[in-house]
Amino acid sequence: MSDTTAPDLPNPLPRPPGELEELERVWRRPRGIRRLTEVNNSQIGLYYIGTAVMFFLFAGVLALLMRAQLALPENALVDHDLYNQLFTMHGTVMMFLFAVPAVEAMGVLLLPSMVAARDLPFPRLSAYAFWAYFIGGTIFLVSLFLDVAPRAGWFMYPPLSSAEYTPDVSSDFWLLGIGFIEISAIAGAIEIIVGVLRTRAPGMSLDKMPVFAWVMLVFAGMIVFAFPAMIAGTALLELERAFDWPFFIAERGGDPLLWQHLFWFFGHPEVYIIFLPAAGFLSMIVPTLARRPLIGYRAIVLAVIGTGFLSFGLWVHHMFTTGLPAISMSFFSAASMAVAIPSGIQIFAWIATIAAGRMQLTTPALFVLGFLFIFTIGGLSGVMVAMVPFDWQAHDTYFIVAHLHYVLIGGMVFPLFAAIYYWVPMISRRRLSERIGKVVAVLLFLGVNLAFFPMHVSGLMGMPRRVYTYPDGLGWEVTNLLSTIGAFVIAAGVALFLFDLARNLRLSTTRNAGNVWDAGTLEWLPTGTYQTRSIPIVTSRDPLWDQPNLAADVEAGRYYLPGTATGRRETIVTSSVDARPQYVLTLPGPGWTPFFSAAFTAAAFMLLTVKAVIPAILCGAIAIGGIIAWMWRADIGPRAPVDIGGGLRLPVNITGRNAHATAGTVVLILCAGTLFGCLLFAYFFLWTVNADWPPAGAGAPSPSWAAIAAVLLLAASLAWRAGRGVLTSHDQPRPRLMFRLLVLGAAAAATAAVVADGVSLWQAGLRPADSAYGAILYAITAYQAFLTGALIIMAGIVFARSLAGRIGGPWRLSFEVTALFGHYVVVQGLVALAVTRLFPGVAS
Amino acid sequence: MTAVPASRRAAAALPFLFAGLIVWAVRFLAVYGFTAIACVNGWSGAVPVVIVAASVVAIAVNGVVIAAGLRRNGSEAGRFLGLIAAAVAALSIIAIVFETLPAFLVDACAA
Amino acid sequence: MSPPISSRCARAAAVVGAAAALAACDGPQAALDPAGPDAEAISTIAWVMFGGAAIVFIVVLVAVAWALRARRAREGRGLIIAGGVVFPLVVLTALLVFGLTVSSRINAEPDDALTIRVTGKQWWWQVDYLDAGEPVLTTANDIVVPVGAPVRFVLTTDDVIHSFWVPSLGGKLDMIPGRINETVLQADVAGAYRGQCAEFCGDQHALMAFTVAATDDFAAWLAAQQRPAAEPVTDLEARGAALFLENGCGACHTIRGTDADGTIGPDLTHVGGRPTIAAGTLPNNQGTLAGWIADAQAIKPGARMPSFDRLAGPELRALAAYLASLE
Repeated sequence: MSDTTAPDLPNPLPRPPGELEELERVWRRPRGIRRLTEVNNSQIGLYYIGTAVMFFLFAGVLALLMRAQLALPENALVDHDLYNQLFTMHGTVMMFLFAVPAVEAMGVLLLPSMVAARDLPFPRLSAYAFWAYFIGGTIFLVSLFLDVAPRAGWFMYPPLSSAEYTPDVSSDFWLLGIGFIEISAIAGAIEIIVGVLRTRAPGMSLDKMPVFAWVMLVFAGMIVFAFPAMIAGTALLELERAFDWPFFIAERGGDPLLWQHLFWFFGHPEVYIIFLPAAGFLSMIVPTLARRPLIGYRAIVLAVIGTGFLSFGLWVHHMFTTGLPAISMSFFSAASMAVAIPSGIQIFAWIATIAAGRMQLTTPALFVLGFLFIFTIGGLSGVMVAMVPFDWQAHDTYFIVAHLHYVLIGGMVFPLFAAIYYWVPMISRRRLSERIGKVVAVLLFLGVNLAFFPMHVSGLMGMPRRVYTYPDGLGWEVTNLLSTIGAFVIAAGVALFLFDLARNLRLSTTRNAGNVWDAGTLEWLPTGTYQTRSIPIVTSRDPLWDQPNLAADVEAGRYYLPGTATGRRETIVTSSVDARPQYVLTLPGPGWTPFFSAAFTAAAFMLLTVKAVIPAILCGAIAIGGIIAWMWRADIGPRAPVDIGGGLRLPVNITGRNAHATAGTVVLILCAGTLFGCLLFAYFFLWTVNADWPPAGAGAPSPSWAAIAAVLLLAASLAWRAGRGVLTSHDQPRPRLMFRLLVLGAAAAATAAVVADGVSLWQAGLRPADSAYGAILYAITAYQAFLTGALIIMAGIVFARSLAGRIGGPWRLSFEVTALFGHYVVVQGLVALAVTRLFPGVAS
Repeated sequence: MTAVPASRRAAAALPFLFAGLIVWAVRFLAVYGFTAIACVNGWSGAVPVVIVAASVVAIAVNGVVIAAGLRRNGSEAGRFLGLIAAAVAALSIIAIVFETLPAFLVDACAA
Repeated sequence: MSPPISSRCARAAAVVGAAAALAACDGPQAALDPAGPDAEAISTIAWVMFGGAAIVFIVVLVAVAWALRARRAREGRGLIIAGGVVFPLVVLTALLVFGLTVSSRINAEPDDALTIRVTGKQWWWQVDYLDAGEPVLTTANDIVVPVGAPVRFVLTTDDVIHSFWVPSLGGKLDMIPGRINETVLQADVAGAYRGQCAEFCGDQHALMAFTVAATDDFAAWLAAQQRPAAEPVTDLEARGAALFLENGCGACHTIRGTDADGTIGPDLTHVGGRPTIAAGTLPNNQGTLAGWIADAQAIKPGARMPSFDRLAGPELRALAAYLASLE
């Protein structure tokens, strides 16, 4: 290394003694039982991916049992009840506990180093999301051994899943368990969106961002818009099961198709939510292996954005056999064709990159080639089933089983294996074995094709999916036997992979195998527990290729923030487009609150499943208490500006619209708004299926109560505004009492509004169990009440902070996010009142 | 202080980037919702007209987005965003054209 | 007219070059072994798409193989535009126009057609032949239709969602609570076609099949079916008839002309003439009838039909003989 100090690097050498030691001290990882307190994303990411792989193995074993049963016609290995649980659990676990968490885990694990942040902005949220997923998922698995596992298929269509046809708790396990895990996925998505937009290294403007970061941004955005539909659906079905609110019961004005719309509005984007990050792995891996920068970076960014949006226009193509008008179906057929174009762009961009370089046939490369083969077949059969008439034959048969496995295994599992073989050197002292890895790739490739290609034929021969047995003589014998053999070949491949992991995976942050592929992106910089020693200035998409001596300079501490400027964990927040440094964000260290809050949240949901309401409420209260404790310490307020090098002085922990917490709150509001939109969709949908709306005999709620509620909501909004004015006023002494009264008043007005709304429904004689009309009105009000409840807690924290002197002047971030959320609650309340009171009265 | 305008620009950057597809989504929902309601009420004759009209408007708006995207200058990142926004709008036009074809080929409310 | 199905099948299979494709062409429940205009049209779409998909797949594989061998190829941008945009755009537009055109033909409604209402039940099918909306014949599981004439199926359910599917005649359509779906199917060739529930509907979803038999002599069949049940002839049959009523079978089953008038299970007035029992689960003969009565819960666990294992062998034989005589 040269010891001449280059003038363009921000920090001079030698670094002061003790600087590195201080950095290490701040980021030191807890040991022993206190590992549970770790909140650092890189560490949580490891727990996360490990757990996801465990669930993958579990669901894989279920698949082997099913294939063993179907190897021969009229086989009696597994009875119908167990088989129905097996396929329900296999689908559910693979989709919800493996695929989405696995790619989210890769995001949490890779993003901080890929954008050279010390950590993402909400580490405790990630820790909470992980523990909620781990504990909730594990309990969900255990249900299989207690014979209470869900058995109505992974899409849980009512009325089969409803109280009448599944009276036991198995559907509740699914609804509450999965609904809860969705919440954890959303928490992770908020972290990823704000992390990608705001914690990138200085200079890493959007046009220099690694494709994987783009992909994770779109991925997380899709979660924000798709998963609330699922939460809305599960909430409505659980309300129906628990309290007989007839959303899906036809006799009382409900409609089973409402569930299918909500489920698939989530379920179709879900496929792309899984596929896009996997495509992101490939966009990182292929250029490295081909030793050329990615060809068509902009085309891929376009394709990723396009796929993300268009995938929301496809949901009805899972409902082509429900008897919808032909023209409605044809829109979705056309949209399904349109979404094939961005996938084609990505595939040809990778092919072009391979052609531009020279790809060594290493293990990740074999998985990439396997991906291209398998995913292309899955995409082509996808275009086939997008054709409405063909789908009338193929729908709900083994043709679909074949198609979806080609898409998901090709589109997600192969890229994930490529990613594991590719990135293990970053986290392990040894890389995985190339020799074993190639055998794994070949076994998986052969097994997948042997297992799933014949299923196309089984399906066209008339074999429906989800049958625990089939008769001899329909011509399904050979193809089923081949599929079973294939499944066990896959299992052999996975077993060999586990052997490789056991032999070679030796986790280490500081002494990892390093940049064995000679890759160009920042995750391959030398790291410690604090990620990189200093935070580089990025001037290229492949900084390690294009910026000479970058790794050495970063490790020597010559870039920004070579130590800790505040004596705490911290990272640099940059502007979202140009990545200009804006402020230094202090980050929380290890703590018990995320773990305990998650554990008690999981306990609350699982206790609700078995109708243990009082213990569930207690656990919920403890969980909320934990979150309050964590919020209490979250906003430590601005600090004196610090020097991060090169004469750049940055403020610490700012407030206002540039603050990371504001961005996080905006994302949360988008989520809440989408959920609300789904309820409004349900309202309009139920209107279209009911000739009488409101139904004959149901009273319409009086407009005067609604007017009172609206006035109260507006008053709440004004109070939030006034509160902000007081907090930022220059009067001395600050009128603290006034501020506290305004906060309490705003919360009280919002509460009174939702109470007035509820009272008006009750007074009109509406009861939620009487009709779907009543049920959806109460559901909308209940959701408003739920958000208002959250707002009361937030306002309570602000009030208490004010009493404790932890708020005032520039120290007001916790107030600002509360007020922002408070305004949203007002807007939602007003829209709800307008829709439910004016429509369809005014329309007709 | 330049912080506030910079953040305003940043806040507008993502919606602009996605503008083409937001237009697509609005048109899609409007047409889908209208069709559902029209078929319930027996207004099947209006369906193709509304579809085509909505498509024409949406394509026109996307044309404006493309023009605005290609005109963008300034920083490298700004030009990049403009170009991607234009491409996104172009992709949206393809999707809109696809989704308009049924108006000419499919009987509106037949099952 | 279109060429004979089997030759087209063989030709298409040869084009695709997939041995497996040929196997998919025939079978009692095969989608690509069409016996009616809907299935025929869909089969045509399928073969066009298989051919197109094979070509696209080969193009992608050739591109990958070229890319692996190429060194420093500079065709990147052109490749992405040609392969990723233009090529799929042309292929997909053509496919979409073709598909929409063909599917609107499938949707054509006949003015006048025999109407059959099929009601899905866990786990069998009630079949009502309608005249002006009113049932003129109620039977179960084994449907008979005239050859070469369109038949309108009115599909409903009594419990959960089921899906009505006869692959050789056409696509499937769901039976959804609160909704009435209609589809028109036509069998151009006399014969029996197997159908099966395609939407998962609980415990015995796998054993919820049925048959559609297309006959030249439909009017005669319908007239025979509308007659009340045959009187028992032999002593054994008479004993069976008595046992049927003594054991309360009539609480669930109807046998027209007797006191049995239950509506929970299938109408058994002409059960002896049906090809299958237990919704396509077993062939219909005296042995399977006796076995089903004795041990329904072992054959189809969870079904509403209880196991009458308290009946002795001779009693079962008498019951089976009686039921088999109800042709």
